[in-house]
Amino acid sequence: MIIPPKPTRVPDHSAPPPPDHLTWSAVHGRLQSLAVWTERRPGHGEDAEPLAAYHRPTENGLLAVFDGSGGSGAAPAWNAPDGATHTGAWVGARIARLAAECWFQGVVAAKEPDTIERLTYCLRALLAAAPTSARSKVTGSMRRLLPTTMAAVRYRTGDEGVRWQAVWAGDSRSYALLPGSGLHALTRDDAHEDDTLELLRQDPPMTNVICADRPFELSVHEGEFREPCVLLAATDGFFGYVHTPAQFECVLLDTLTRSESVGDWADRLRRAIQPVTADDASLSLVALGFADFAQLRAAFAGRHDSVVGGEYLDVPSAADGPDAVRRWQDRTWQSYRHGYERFMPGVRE
Amino acid sequence: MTTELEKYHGNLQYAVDIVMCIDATGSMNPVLDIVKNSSLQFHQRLGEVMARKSKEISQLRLKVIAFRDFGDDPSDAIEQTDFLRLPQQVGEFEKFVRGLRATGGGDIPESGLEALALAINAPWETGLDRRRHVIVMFTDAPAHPLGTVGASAQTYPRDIPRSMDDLFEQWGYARSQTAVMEQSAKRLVLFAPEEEPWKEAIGEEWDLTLHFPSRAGEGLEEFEMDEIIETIANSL
Repeated sequence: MIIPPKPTRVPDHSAPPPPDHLTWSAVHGRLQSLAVWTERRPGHGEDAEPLAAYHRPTENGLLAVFDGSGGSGAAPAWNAPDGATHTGAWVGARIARLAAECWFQGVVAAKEPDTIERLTYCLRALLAAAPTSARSKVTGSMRRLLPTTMAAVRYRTGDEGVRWQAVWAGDSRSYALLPGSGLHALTRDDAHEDDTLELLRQDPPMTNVICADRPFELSVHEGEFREPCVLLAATDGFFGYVHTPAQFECVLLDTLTRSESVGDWADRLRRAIQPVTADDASLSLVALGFADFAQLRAAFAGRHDSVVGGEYLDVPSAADGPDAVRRWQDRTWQSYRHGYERFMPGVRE
Repeated sequence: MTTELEKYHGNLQYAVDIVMCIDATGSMNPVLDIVKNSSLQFHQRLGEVMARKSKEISQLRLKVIAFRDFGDDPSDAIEQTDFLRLPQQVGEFEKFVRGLRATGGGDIPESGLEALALAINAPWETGLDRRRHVIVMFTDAPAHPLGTVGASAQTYPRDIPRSMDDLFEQWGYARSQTAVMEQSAKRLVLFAPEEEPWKEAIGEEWDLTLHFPSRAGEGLEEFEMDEIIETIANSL
């Protein structure tokens, strides 16, 4: 059985226009899950709704986010029945979400192959079948048909801990948040730049995205945690508009510490990120192995004090000039980087 | 709460350099008129389109390279500005653009690749964060091979590549060691006919390129300035 996350807070709109955010949360035993989804322009965002699924009988779960690539997929791709025209990026993200969910259901409910090749097949098959009623005349190497990122974490809980497998394409990311050591990236962006701070500074183009008209690759990285942990997947609207990578962990821990429940954490995350991001933002998260929310919050109290109370929020003022900000970024990144990259896959050749 | 949130608010602004390569031969009068009539509003309109995409511009610099045909008249085959900062230098930009006349060129092809080579070797911004180096090519004609037609003329650019392969090396590719363009920043937007070198040799082979096919010899009349600005903003 798949447990869809239960909505905890829906904006009070009695009628259209569509909401600019949604949050969900669910609790099952020692599993606590939440998802956050926000749009800059309601109804026109290019992030699909985040995916958070868990199959009780086999203790398998899947987190995933999808960010349609607005630059390469800006062309109109589908005229909806209500008259709205959606871009290729909008359509691609939603089709990839459907494909990932179908793949997961097939694996846990129908014992279909538990392989990346099978997931790739599902993505290709659904993208190939997608409606493309509005064709664009644009060509060129940068253009893609139905382009989207994906960051997914497949996990399985058991007596010996949590087995995880990160799967991704593009620049959406998966992370582990551990009580003792904080935030660790589990993925490496598909870009020519390998340094996470430089990725923040330059916002470079992606070298690989899921799409309907060109080859793409899914990268895989896996591991195991024997202690309680938090796993999450997020689009760059969550982590791409801060000063330095450590500040994303500050957002996670600051909101966790102030929250009373996992649903409250989802809403505080949404309220923290929506005013500062310049993009659609979505996040899917699961906490595994904590007895309840109070224990989850308490487990990260020490890490919160050292990170949020440290130098990562002491941003030089505008009066100090851009060079002062750069020096502060470089210094704080060097002190943070080793832990952040501890579980990161190696640099590609 | 606002003060706390501001701590997380990183640099979201883009430093945008744009080189417009404009075919100024006779058939291009319509697009020249569009650029002329929109030059004063260009900064504002690009800023508005960027704002709709939740992007801001920290610095906008524009350079224009007008080209005709070294095979027809080498003396006026290239006219160009330095990088001009907008809106501060909009007067210089407008004066140059208004002074352009769509004339000459003789038969196709034209000297578009020489203009592209000059654009690639322009003095791009190197210091600010979130840099974008965009070359926009407006032409309704195919191009002469580099280093051939008019290459012996005194006005022919001295320091540009003499072959498509060498020009491609300067444009660069993944992990390229010889690139002049910065991989993270570069974009090429072509408003050009589905003819060579624009369609395959550049549009499909060079990375980070968008190609809006035009009808050969018809002066890009089908394009509106809104569409051009939207395309440039999408490429960022």
